[in-house]
Amino acid sequence: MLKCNEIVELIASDKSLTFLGKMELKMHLLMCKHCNNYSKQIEIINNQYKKSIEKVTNTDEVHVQDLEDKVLESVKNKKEQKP
Amino acid sequence: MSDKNQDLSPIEIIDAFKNQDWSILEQLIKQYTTFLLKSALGLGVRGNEADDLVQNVWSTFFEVIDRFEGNSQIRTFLYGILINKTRELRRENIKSNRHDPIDSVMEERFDSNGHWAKPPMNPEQFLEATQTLEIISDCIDKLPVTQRAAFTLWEIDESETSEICKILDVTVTNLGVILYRAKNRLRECIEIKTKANE
Repeated sequence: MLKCNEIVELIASDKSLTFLGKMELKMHLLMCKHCNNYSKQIEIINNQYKKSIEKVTNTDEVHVQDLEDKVLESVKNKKEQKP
Repeated sequence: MSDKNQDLSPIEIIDAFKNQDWSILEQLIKQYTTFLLKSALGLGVRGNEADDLVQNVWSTFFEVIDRFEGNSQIRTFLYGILINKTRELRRENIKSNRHDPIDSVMEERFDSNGHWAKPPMNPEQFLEATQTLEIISDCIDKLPVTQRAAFTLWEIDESETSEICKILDVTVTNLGVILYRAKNRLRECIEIKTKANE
């Protein structure tokens, strides 16, 4: 039988489990309130993390085009520097 | 966006660079710049610093292109350069990833029998605290670059495990440890901030 600290490790490290491993995890979560809460916290983190990253990675097209032009320009300059 | 150069080989890129074939290089740059910018922002680099970083990655890319191995994808190769540059920017040492204080924080949450000594906060309160995303983004900003990159690749890009390991230059076991630490750092950070706001 796995202990709580081992269950927590399985959950947070996203280990791929065998069928029996999955069953044991499920059983543990049914019986153990704390690990169940922990597992829900991790789920919340996964979801909110996604939302948060999506928010900060919003880019506008004009800005990106501008950046692409700058990059191309510097690549051209670089090539000219070392023929 | 054209997918024509989806399969551009390193040799083709090197040739294009040598022959000053700007149209191919432009296509290449157009194909990956958005991805690089988004990745830089995702790693917590903001504003001008993010633009400079992307330019820097491209510049390095063309310097080391002859060392590019055909069996890794351009995207992977670029992301690898980006992570290294971000670590430099943050003055982060890869070795510093060997020990993480979160490990002992987690140990203290259990008794010697492996049972919870300090149980986790109830999830309802936890969810409420992260609703505005303010707390979680503060906590994300405190993550080391490698953990942040690993979590982003794992949860958002849903990249293949082998691909993530290649980008981060870690084993599958290490990747598990990195994810474990990232999630527990976030969890502890959110709990502390939530309690402070009570």
